[in-house]
Formats: sequence, C-alpha cells, structure tokens
Amino acid sequence: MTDGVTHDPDRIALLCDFDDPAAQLIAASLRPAEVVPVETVPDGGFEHLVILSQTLFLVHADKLADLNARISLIVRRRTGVMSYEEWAEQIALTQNSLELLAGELGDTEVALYGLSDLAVSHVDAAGLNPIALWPQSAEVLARPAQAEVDAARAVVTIKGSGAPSLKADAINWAALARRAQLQTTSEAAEDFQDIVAIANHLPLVEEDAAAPTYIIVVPNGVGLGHLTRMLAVARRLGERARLIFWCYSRAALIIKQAGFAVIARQTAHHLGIDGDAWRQWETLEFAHLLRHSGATRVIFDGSTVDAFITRAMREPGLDQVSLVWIRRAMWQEGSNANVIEASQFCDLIIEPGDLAAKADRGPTTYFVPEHRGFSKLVKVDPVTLLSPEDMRTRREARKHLGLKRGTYCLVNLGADHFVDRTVLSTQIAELAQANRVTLVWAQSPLAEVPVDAKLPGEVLRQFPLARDFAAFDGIISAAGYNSFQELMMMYEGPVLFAPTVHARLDDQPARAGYAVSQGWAEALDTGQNGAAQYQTLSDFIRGLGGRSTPSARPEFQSGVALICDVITGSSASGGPGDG
Amino acid sequence: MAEGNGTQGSDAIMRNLIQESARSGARLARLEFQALLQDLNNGALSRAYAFELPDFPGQPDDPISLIPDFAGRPMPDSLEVPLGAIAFSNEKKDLPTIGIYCPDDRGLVNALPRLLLDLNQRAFARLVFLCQSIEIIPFLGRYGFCFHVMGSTETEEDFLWASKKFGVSEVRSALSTELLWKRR
Repeated sequence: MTDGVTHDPDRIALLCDFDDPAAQLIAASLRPAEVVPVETVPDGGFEHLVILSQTLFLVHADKLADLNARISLIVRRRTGVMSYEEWAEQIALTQNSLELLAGELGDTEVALYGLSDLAVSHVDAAGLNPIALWPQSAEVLARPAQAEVDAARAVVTIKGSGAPSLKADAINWAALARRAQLQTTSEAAEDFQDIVAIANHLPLVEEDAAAPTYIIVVPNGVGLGHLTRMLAVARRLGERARLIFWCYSRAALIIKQAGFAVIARQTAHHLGIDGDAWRQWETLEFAHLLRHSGATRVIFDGSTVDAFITRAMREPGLDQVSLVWIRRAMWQEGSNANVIEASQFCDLIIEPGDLAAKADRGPTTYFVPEHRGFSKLVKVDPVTLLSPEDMRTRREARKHLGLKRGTYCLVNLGADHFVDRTVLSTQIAELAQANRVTLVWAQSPLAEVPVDAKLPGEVLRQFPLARDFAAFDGIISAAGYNSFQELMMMYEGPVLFAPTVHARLDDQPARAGYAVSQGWAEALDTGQNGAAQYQTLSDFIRGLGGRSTPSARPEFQSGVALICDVITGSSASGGPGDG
Repeated sequence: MAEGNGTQGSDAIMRNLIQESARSGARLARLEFQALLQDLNNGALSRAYAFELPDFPGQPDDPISLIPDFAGRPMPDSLEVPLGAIAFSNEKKDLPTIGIYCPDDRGLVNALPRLLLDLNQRAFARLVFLCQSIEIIPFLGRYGFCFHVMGSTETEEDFLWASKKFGVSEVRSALSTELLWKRR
C-alpha cells in the first residue's frame, strides 16, 4: 500500500490548508515528485491527489467522483478544539462518504493513511480501514539540534546555548524538522503529537548543491545602497549559482546590464494600494518563482523582511529554501528595533562591515530579539562593488571622462529626489566659481529630474562612479554606506562629506563624524549653524588642487568572499541550514 | 430647526471640500504632466545612462516562469490600478483598466507621449503597461503608472494574467492603439 508514494514521479496535488504543518511535512516527503498545493480540487493536470484531512475530504467529496487520479486520504486524529464524540462522528461520516464514492470511482482506489502508529490504530479502531502508516522511517532520525515545541504557546525552543526560540509558524515545518528533532508534551492535542512524530521520522532530502539557484530580493531603497551591495555579492556569488533578482528598485536596469535575470516589481506604495491585497499577489507570484526555479536560498538586503517572503517560504513544498538576511548596521539611534524580530525567519544574518562601526549607536548594536530561531549572525568586512584593481588611474579616468586641465570636484549628494539640497548645491556652485574649480555633478539613475541646468559644471550620469574617482581633485559626497566605504578605501584625494539626514536613511552624520575624528575626511556638521557649515565648505573648496592628502585611510578590505562562502555553506562559519 | 441648519452647513462644507479636493487633484495632475513633458524633452525615453560595470560572471539564460498556475488555488482580488500622477478623475474607480502593450521599439519615444497627452486631457482609463523589457520602467514608475514586464514575447497567457491580476479588460498596442486582446 505504501509503494510508490514516497517516490512518485508524477505531478501530485496536495489538497490542504497551506498553513497546516502536516501539509508542509507531507509535501517534503513526496519529493522528488512535483507537488502542487491546492485549496480546492483542480479539474485535472495531475495523477495523484493527496488529501490532508478527513475534514477536507468531506468538504470536497462531491468533486472527487469525476477525478481521473489516484487519491490518498490522510485521516487525522483529534485537534485541540474537537471532542472525541465529534471526531468519531467525523470518522463515521468519512466512512459513509467513502462507501458512496466507491461506486462512482470505479477502479480508482482511495488509500487511507495515518500520520503515526497511534493515529493508524485509533482510526482503525474507530472503524475506518484499511489504513496504513504514511511512508516514513521506522526510527527517529538524527537532526542537528533538539527542540521543544510548546503547543499551547505555539513556540519552539531550541535546546542549547541561550535556548533560542521561534514562533511555531515562523518557518516551514519541513525546514524545522530538518534542523531539529522535536519533542512535545503529552498534553498536546493528538493531531499535534502526530505532526511532531512524523516530523521526526521523515527522511528529508537535502538540496542538490551542484547547480543551485538563489533569488535575490532588492527592496525599494531610497538610493542605490541595497542594489549596489547585492551586485557586489552577485559579482562573486554568480560564479557558484544561478541568480535571479526580484527587484523593487526602479534602477533594475543596472542588474540587467550586469547580465542577471531580473524581475522588476512594484511595491504597494508605488501603486498607492492596500498592502494586504498587494501582499497576497506577491506571495503567490514569489512562491511560484521559488517552486519553478528550484531556488534554495532567498537573499534579502534591507531593514524589514516583508511577510510575502516568509509566507511564500512556508508554502508546502518550499521547505528547501532558506532565508539569508543581509542587514547593514548603522541604523539611526531610536529606529524601530522590533523589525529585528524577523531574525527567527532566517538561517543566516550577515552584517556587512562599516568602517565607521565604532560610531554606530543604532539598535543592531544592542537589540536582542525575543525570537531568533536558528539564525546565525555573521559579521564581515565592508562590502563594495569595486575593488582597487577596478579603479582607473588619474590619467585614465580623466581621459575617460573627457576632463581637461584644471581643478575638478565631483559632487555626489545622493538621493536627490528625496531630500532637497538646493541650498547646498547653490553654495557649492558659488564657491567653486569663485575658486576656479570645475564641478562635476553626479546624477543617480534614480534621479527624477536632471541636475539643475543653471548650476555651473558638468553632469556625470554613470554607474558606478567609483571607477573614475581618481580623476578628481576632491569629492563632496553624501555619507551613504557604499559611497563612504568606497571613498575611504579607494580614493586618496580630499573628501568632504555632506551627510543626508532623513528618518528612512542610515545614520550618515555619525558615519561622517567618525571619518572626521579619524582624520580621514572633512564633513559638514549637521549640528552646526548655516554660517559654520558654509565656512567648512568654503575652506574645503578653496583648498582643492593644492592640498596635502589626508591622514592614512583604511586599507582595502572586502567581506564579499566570506559572504559568498557562508551563503553557499562552504565556510567554517557554517551555511544556512547547518543547524 | 437649528439641527437642520447645522446639517445643511455640514453638507455645504463637505461639498466645498470635495470641490476643492477635485480642483487640487486636477492642478497637481497638470503640474505632473508638465514635469513629464520636461522629462521627455530631456530625452527620458532615449537618454542613455553610462554603465561602467565591472565584469560579472556569465549566467544561464534559462527562461523564468512568472505566471502561476491557478488551478486549485483561490485567486486574490484584482489589484486596484492607479490612474497615474498625470491624470485626475473623481470617478477613477469607474474607469476601465486597459493594458498597453509596449514592445521594445524606438517608436515608443513618439507613441507614448501621444498616449499620455490623451490621458492627461481626458482620464479615459487606468493603464497597465505590459512591457517587453524593463528599459522604460523608471519613466513609468516615476509618474505612478502600473507596469508588468512580460518578457520577450507577447502571449495570450500574459494578457490573461494581466486580466486576473489587474482587471485588464483589453490590451492595445502602444504603437498603433490596435486592439491586441479582449477579455471574453
């Protein structure tokens, strides 16, 4: 009776509630067959229908008669909200429906299964038979960790140092079963005990590491920070895996130019619509991508893990996908620390280093989430898209940009569509003119309008900018993550940071202030009055062309290689799913 | 009597607020359209951006399946498609949702402004731009339009998908306004 179920090569429809842990476990046990979770009986397109409970069977029994497919029915024991009498009545109804259906099904058999030995014997004793144990190992299988499931609180506590925990519905139960051997108390409902039992007995197939596919989710950032960081990782990770970008940034074209597959998306905010409706579609489409690409990692760079990602990963059949959260630090003091609770959904949290980390006062430096699940935090060196070998020499860069003789200053004020920097731009222009400095205004691919044509100088529409840094006698820049690391490690000329201050951004003033304290750069102090800031700006521009180089800046360091190693699981720090 | 006066007074205030809101909405749409024209004059659809990207590893060119199989899955409600920032209507929810198929074609540089001018002058529909590639997405996104990147071929399946997700009732070509697909 069990033959052919675990290694069914067919397309199998799993009639279930997607949030049912048993559905998530059964879907994993059916691999390598293609399992399609459904909530209603499809008209066709599959050879085998597995129904996850007698309740679902009774609801959909009238649609089964015309089905040209094998049917397996998993008969469940009592849940916490059901009395024994109610359950027995349900079993009797199921028996009647099966008898009625038998005449209409012809040769098609309905095979009955229980999740555990106890379930089989209870159902058999209630008069519903023949029933077999759902195919599983006779032994409790070894897992990397042990965990206690508190059914009443719906919390899983992992045994060991610090006893980290996660909510019971945080991750796919097959993923949970792969990471830990589970225990629960005898007070738990019978059905819940069966779920825990089958979780411990299910052979769970590990991923095929030969040709992995990873999905990289790029949020709609204020600037290009997330996108640039993910490209930096992709530059190396792309040697080891197929990468598909799921991108909310309007600068998605950059990813396409780099040669990666990119799926351009819009946020609910972009569309001005209700977030719940938007999230339902994102979940549906994202889950489809995960299923059909065979992806084993979702790599997300951002401050908030959206629920569509974690909901999709919980769908039956998607247990082999693990979540890697690349989470830059340097959040503003007082930022919402609760978003760090998303740690429980992750296998790996990677914090790219920041040269100004000592000035970090944000919540990533102190907040301990209530639930951190199986996540491991790995801190790496700073991440930049370019390395010193990518940089052009001064001569090459000047030639490439077509700059003539004279003193040139690059002005890169960051997300110009986001914060109005008209006053600063005008001051820079006036001072540059007075000091015979030619300005080159960097324009972001995200810029909504061209740089003001009235401002003197030239416009540089190029990504990335860093290759040609050497062309300039000085650079005035915002203090976003990427610009800051690139300038401090790969540019030798004078730098004036003009940090952008906004609630949605990282703590740019702290970063810039740290650079000043180390003698690496100068900065406009956002706490100063306008006159003092003007003086700083004036001194900087006046000194361009003839100034000595600043005191030694940090040597180039890169965390990209380690990031790729931990993501692929080839590092001593461990990879996702190592338990 | 006093109550009646109060109600009439409240009604009048409400009417004024609604009228003022409509006037503001129309004014904002005009301003956005002017910005869009300026953007187009600056070559928004043809202006090249210099990519000085380093070398990236080659990637497989396998097709990506983007349209989920709905069999056996309850479908979410269609999303409410925005009108876009350059148009205004008090009854935007009553407007039909039309798909505009945008192939990779230089002709778009001329065709899109004509279409958007029509939309600005008379908000006749909520548009979903069904794009063959991502090149025009920054421009569309900037003005609050809804888009869906279909990939390299136009297919019935994609149009049907747009119909389910966005409630698109018909699809027309951005180049010729020719009717390409109609919901049955």
